[in-house]
Amino acid sequence: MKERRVINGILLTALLTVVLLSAPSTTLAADAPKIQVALIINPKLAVKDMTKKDLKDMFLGKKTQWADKDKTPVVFVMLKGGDVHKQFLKDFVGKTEAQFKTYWKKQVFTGKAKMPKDFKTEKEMMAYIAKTKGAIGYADIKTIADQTTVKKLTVKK
Amino acid sequence: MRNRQTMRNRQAMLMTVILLAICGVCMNTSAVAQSNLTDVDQQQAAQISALRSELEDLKSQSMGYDDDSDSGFGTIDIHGFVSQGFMQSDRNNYLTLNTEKGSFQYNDLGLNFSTALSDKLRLGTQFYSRDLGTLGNNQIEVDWAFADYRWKDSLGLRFGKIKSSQGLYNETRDYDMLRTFALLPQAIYNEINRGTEIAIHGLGLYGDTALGRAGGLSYQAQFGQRSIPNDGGYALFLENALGNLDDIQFDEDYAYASSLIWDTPLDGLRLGISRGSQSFDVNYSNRNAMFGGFIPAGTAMLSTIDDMVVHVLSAEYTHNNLILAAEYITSRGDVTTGTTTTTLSQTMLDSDGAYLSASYRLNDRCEVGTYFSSAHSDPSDRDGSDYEAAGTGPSWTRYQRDLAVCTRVDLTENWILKIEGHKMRGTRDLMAMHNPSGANPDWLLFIVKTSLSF
Repeated sequence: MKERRVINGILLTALLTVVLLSAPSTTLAADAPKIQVALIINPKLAVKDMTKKDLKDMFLGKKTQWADKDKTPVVFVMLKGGDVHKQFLKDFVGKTEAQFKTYWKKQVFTGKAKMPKDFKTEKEMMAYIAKTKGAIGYADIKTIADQTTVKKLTVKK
Repeated sequence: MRNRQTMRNRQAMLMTVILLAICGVCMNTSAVAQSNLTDVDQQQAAQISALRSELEDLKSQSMGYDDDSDSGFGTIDIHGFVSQGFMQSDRNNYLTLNTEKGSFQYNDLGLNFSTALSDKLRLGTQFYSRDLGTLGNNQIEVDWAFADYRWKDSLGLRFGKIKSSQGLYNETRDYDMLRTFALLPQAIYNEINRGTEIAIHGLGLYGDTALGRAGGLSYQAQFGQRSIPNDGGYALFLENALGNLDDIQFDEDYAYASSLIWDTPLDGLRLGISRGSQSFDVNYSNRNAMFGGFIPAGTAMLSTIDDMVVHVLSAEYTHNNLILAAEYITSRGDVTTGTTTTTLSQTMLDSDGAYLSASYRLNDRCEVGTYFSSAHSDPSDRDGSDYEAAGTGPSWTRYQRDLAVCTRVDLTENWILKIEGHKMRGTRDLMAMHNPSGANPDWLLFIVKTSLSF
């Protein structure tokens, strides 16, 4: 009797796995046009470019100061979700949205950091970056095409 | 026999049909909703979208952020979680639970408060409670509480009760919502030892440093003392080895833990090494005569564990939605046992274990994973054959192998459900006191667990 219940339970696990394997992924669709993501910073920052590694370290909380003469503290901000956010994470951080959230929840639940500040829209994010010392974020390159309130940052490989 | 097989097959087919129906309904719901919009509805939707965009523009312009405002310094962040699980085995009682009957004594919850006083200084604490069979019993304890001063990226200081860095997942082992599996590989993350392994009271140094094209290094080093509860996991292992004991009192000496993680130049690959050590004494009295009657019942006894050293080698590779991980642990220490005046035995504890795991996120709602884990009482006799040949006991008492399969469903952003199955071979980690009729070498374990977090 017990063995039947345990076997049924394990069978349920296997069946659920097989069924869910057939469910489509809702991450970035392979056939969707690729979004070009640009990095944007506060215009007062005396920084023109940075390496992809340094950028990744900033958004993982490992690099906390800019390499300017004031060693300005890094204030990185995110979008709450969406395709621009997913493309940014894929191109610059090397994590999926779920992995990135898990990484930051680990920092929070071990007392090492707080959740990064996030915004619903690129416009809200850009307004914050424009007025916050040390701020860095990202947006669709088309969104910032005519913007003068934030500075575009070149990312070197 | 044939009727039982037929019933099993019908149950399996019925479950498959039900699950397929549920998934079909979920996938079709959004498509049906979209196709029902009429032309008028679409015009109205476009107007609402335009108005919303104008409103967002006005909101952005009026936000009026100052350069240094909205820093959040001094505000208190509160987060928490609660998990409840059920374990059932077909044979053998496991992890102090009565799993042969099925047990809900498998839950934990935590609540943490933290604040940043400046961009360099943080304070925080977490209260934690768990129930794992006879361990914990939902007593509330301080899980971690420390001040954290980050002088620069390569050097920070923590002091207080600090989560211990050991392997990839020791610091986060309590957080069910942060991993695929309900039960971490027990070869490395034994739940019975959790109460001692989880934290160090003392000082910690940490930092991150970039290595240019060689990637980056993250390190932690902690020194202080570990807390060993007198009614916790170590006490259980002691009683399991020596028989019924009274008045168990642990006296902790120093402990340290350190880890080095290398983010390699290969995207997604990180390698790590951890080393930790601790020493402690334990005083107790024996309820029954020991050493062939040489030591009468009620004698005051002392065991000294000197410099128990644990090493963990770790590797984790992440590629898109796939995460592969592998870890290997060794644990060695000298144990001296005797009365308070006479040494009776000196032995060396020497064990090792390893696992290999894979997890894959199928979509925003579902993740699946599997691992194979193996723990051994003697690295030189991992299959126990020498032990059995010497007539000491069955070989399968000297190891425990575990093949696990898990499905994790994210019901909402904050609520998850896991269903997990384990096929076990070996009884190394079972407690004789919880299996008085003896243990069986081949057994199955089924776990269902749900967690909420915020």
